[in-house]
Amino acid sequence: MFLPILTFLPLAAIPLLLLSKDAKAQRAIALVTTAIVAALSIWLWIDFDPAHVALGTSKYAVDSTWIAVGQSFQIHFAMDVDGLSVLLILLTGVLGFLAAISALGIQKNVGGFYAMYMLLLTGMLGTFVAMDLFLFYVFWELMLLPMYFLIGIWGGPKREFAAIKFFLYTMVGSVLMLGAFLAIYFKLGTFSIPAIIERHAEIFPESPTLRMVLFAALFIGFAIKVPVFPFHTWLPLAHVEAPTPISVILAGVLLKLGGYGLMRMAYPWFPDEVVRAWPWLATLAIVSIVYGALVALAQTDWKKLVAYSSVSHMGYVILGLSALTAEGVNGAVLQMFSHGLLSGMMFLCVGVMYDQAHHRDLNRFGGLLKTLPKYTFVAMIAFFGSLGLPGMSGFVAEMMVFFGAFKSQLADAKMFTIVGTLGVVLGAVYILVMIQKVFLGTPREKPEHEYHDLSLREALALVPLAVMTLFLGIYPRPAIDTIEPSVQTFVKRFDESIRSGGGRDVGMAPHAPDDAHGTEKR
Amino acid sequence: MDTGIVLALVILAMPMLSALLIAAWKRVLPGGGDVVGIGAMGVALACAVTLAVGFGTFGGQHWDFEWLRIGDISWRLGIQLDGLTVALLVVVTTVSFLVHLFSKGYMHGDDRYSDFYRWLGLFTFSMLGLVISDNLLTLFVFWEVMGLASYKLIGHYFFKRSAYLACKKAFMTTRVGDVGMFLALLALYLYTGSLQFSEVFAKSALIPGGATTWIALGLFMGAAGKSAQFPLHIWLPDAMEGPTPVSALIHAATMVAAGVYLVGRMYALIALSPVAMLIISIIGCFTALFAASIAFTRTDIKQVLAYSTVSQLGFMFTALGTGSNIGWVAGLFHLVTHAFFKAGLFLGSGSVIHGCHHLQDMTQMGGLRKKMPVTAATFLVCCLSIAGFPLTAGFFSKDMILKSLWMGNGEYDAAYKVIFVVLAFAAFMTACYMFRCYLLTFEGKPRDHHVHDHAHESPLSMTFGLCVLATLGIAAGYGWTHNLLPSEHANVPATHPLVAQVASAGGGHGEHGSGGEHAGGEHAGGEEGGHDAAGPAAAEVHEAGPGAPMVAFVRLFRESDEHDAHIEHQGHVAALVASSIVMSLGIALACFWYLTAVGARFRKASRAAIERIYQAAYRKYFVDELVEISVIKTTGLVAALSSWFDASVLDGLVDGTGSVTRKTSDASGAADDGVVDGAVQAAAGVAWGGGGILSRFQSGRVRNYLFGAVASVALFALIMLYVAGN
Amino acid sequence: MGALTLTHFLVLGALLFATGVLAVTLRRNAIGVLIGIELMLNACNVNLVAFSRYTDRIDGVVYAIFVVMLAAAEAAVALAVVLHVFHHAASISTDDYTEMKG
Repeated sequence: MFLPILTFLPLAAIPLLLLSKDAKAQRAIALVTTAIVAALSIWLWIDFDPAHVALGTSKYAVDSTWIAVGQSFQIHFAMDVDGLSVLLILLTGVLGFLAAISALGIQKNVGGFYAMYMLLLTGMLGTFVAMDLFLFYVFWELMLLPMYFLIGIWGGPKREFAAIKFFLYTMVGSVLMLGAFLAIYFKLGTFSIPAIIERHAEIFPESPTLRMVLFAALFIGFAIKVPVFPFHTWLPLAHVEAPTPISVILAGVLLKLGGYGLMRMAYPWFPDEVVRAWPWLATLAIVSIVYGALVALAQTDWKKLVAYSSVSHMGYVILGLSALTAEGVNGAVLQMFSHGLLSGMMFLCVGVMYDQAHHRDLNRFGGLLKTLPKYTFVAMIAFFGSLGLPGMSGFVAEMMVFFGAFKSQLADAKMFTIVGTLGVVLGAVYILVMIQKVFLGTPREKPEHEYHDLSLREALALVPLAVMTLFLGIYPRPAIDTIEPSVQTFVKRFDESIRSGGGRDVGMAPHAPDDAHGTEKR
Repeated sequence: MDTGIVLALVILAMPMLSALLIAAWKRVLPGGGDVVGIGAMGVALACAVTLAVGFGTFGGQHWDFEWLRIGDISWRLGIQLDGLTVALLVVVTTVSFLVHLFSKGYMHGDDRYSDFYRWLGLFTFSMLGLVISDNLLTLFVFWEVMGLASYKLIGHYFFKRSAYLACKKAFMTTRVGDVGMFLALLALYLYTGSLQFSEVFAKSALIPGGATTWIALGLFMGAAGKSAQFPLHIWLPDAMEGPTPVSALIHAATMVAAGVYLVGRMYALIALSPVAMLIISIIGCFTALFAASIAFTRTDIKQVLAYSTVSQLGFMFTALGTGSNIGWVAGLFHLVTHAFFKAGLFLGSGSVIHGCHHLQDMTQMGGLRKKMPVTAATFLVCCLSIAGFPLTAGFFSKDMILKSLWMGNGEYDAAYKVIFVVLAFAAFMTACYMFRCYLLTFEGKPRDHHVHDHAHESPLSMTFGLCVLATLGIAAGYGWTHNLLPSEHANVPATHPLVAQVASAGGGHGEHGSGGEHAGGEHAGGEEGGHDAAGPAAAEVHEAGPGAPMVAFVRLFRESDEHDAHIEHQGHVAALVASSIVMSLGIALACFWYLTAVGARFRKASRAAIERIYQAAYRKYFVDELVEISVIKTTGLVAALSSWFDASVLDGLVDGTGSVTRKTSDASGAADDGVVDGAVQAAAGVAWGGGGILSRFQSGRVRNYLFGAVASVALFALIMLYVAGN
Repeated sequence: MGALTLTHFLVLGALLFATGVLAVTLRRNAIGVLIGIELMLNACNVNLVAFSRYTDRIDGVVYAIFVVMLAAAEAAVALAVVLHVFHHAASISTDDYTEMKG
């Protein structure tokens, strides 16, 4: 019962929120609930044995018939976790709590805000634990509604447009996903995710074209969330217009849902297609990395810059994941976790200044190192971490992605990786330019009110993230040990596909493994 | 854990501790934390010296632990103590300690005094971490952290535009180089499955031939970035925006040394590719010449020293590029001596700057020897050292460099002899411009009397360091290389615990011997029977186990011992002759030009003769401008283009689908209104019209109703009659 | 002149009926309409009695008595209605009774 409790606890808080009278009580309820959720997620992470990789059979598994129509239509309420989901649940819990702290600054309609927030939290947690396709889809869609309201009511000047665009764009992806889900269901007769993973070879084996189409549909559906170029254009607008705590959740958790979906469903169900599509996947990943960084460089709106940096960072996830090596996939998952922490920090930092200056124009800031030393210290951790400075989690993740991609046996992996390292340089450029404009030099204009340094609330939200990213940067074992067995299982699924070149020689066969690589102990 | 390792960890911890303490408690610590910093470095220095002195016991100790486990692959990180490491530990701690001390006087009264010490601590920590690493991963980590610390230190006066542009430039330029290094790391991991030095060297036979060259060049690219070789040298002169103690520490002795260290450390691997080695030598030599020529045109004392550093680093790489044992020793020897005398020069210039109240322009100086005797004396000693005056440390190291070039490596000997000549010329220029610097600053008549009158000698905290460094600038040439770096002389027993033999036999490396040499300690010279003529030695691949200490690398000489000795003697003589000549000529020319009136006229005339070249050199050969246009502006342009594309095209497409959908729904709506609803409306219309017509029957007139009734009855009756009739 | 046959009475009845119809349809006066109705009724009576006289059956006379009775009742009711309408519309011209126009 642990997983359902974890998932639905925020939901249970909604009536309390709506019934309570004043904002203070509502904030208290919200903080307590998110704190409990965070504690539960930490407990899950500590208690879960990562070696247990078989989905549906762990001690946390839940499986009961939910909607049954005769023999043919069976929807189960099935939940379970493995190392991957446990880590992402941890991220959700922690960020959920910290963003709730940051949201203490919301003034208008506090109860409504937190009610939507709780709904969102339930949706996110549910997506990570759902083991039945239908249930997964329910939770997936459940997240859209609160996001629409959270952006549309508490957001910036163009919030309605941003909310609608976000909603519709994601919905298009969901529809593609649903189409694929239904096709698979009608072929295999089950909604159960572990079962489909096991029986993936039965999905239309007679028609590779159809398989590729289904894979493409699933991929695009999830890629919209990640976001991968060219499906990323909803992100800058949504981020810019969303209020700070929602930006934190959006970048920190929601983007990871795409990666999770790819890892849990799209890739394991279509291993041959992944191998065949590798050149495309790698190209998209690298374009995301490089293009995201370039566009970030050209921005004058601070928040938009951070939004595009998310596009760039998530490119690493796709690269590592698609390389299908242990190092690469580990790096990709770690990058998801690390990016959650770092982009959360970055958005919080931007929010701190926006709250005081009421603008986000990079060309109007300057010299903050002098006036706001504590804030600058924390912000530097966030931004240099985002740049991939060793000593922080971002570097470990990116490094592993590159090691994994370079080592990959898929076609031309080395070339793709070499181009991808451009991202290392470009990533530094926009960060440094941004730091220079905001923190160095002298203030470009006199602010209306003197800026004050970090307040307690802001520090409480930022410091834990900084500590976590520094800790993981030096000692990533806690995170890696959690996901390692799941990653190994994931990677092993592709062994045959890699060997057979994707099931079919279409001129994209990978190099035969060199004998010189005898060191690769698999 | 061995004692040596513990000492090494203490050395590493000290500056980090100081940085953390200062960061946390800068308000309460005495002196704002400078005492903590100096004290911590003092402890570290003591430990380092202990390690060096007791190298017999400590050398070769090694410790590692498993940092990560991915499936079967274990990523291990650790510490090793071989001669190279210990030598650099001493150098770094010494210079850092002296710089900490010097800063007490120099940075006195600065706004962010404590922050300065904090970053000095972090920087020293990362440099120390770099040298004690036993694997490329932590080396890279510390490499980058050093970059961060350097960024912060160069940008100490962050409110100045020139300062923040300089620190950004430094970080970006080194990062570009780091990409190459990172790619080399990727390749090494791919082919050898590990990043620990011992593993990499043990398995270097597994690396395909072509890849070796790329890996070597990749590593060199990273080194070139950090050590400011052409064309990645552009950040170093700008980095002079940082306070002078920073320049002394980072840009003379430590950070720029990291690149040289990297090449030295990875020598066994890099030396497997003669092509890469030649390229390294050529670039090093070119940089040496290039930077020396620019140094002539500089009037800012720090700029002269900056270009001098670039040039001297070029010397080191040239030596390392020979791929031979002696080249290795020469390059690293010069690294150490250079650290001392260059730090001495920088701190001396700092003393001058401080004494002249923050003046850096030599054209306004002159005749300062009388006002600042200690500074002048120490500066002179260091100048002599860099010029290669006999018996100074610089003399020995430069001599060895030239010797190694003459000796070549049996592969491209002719090329190396050419490089020998060019480098000798660069040495001549070095002597000349360094003495120009000294003479302009300290000798002759004061050019600005106001400055001269107010100049004063610096306090003890500053001059102490100068004296120590000057002493080291002489003393560092004696004797230690035999203990810590393998010397070119043989006769060392094979029983030394540091002996680790790694043969890189295996196909393709025909002319490479498989003799092992050891870093640190004496080497089993005589038993070089290990190296053969052609063909690989036994396919003896002595695996260095995971805990094995350092590098054993390959000698590339293919000749026999006798041939060696002959070449060696030849090289010795050639180097001695060349260096003596160029040094004397250089110093003499400088004195002539700057001390005598005749010389002054001659100088101006010769400058006019090469005016074009002079102007180019003055403008730093337009490299910065080139980079500005080709890299920076291009990137900015591409970024703006991408942003436009994203907002207008991609997003336009998305929004476009939105407007298409809207128009479609408008059309639908119109169709609905017009057609579907129209039908409904028409039906209603018919009913309405019909009703309208029918209602006319209800005229309200009784007579009509009656008439209707009668008429209907009559009609009915007629119909009935008609029906009944039929 | 010959003897009176049935035909003579039928013609009389027809003439009376036609007169009655004309009166009903053409007269504006409400009372005139009523008189027309009475004429029609009485025309029917004439026909009925004539048929009874010339076929030796008593049915016609019985019908005639019923008709007279009904005519009386109907006249009373109709006059009462006309009285009420006259009170309401202040006129007995049927052209003025237009409330039912629709």
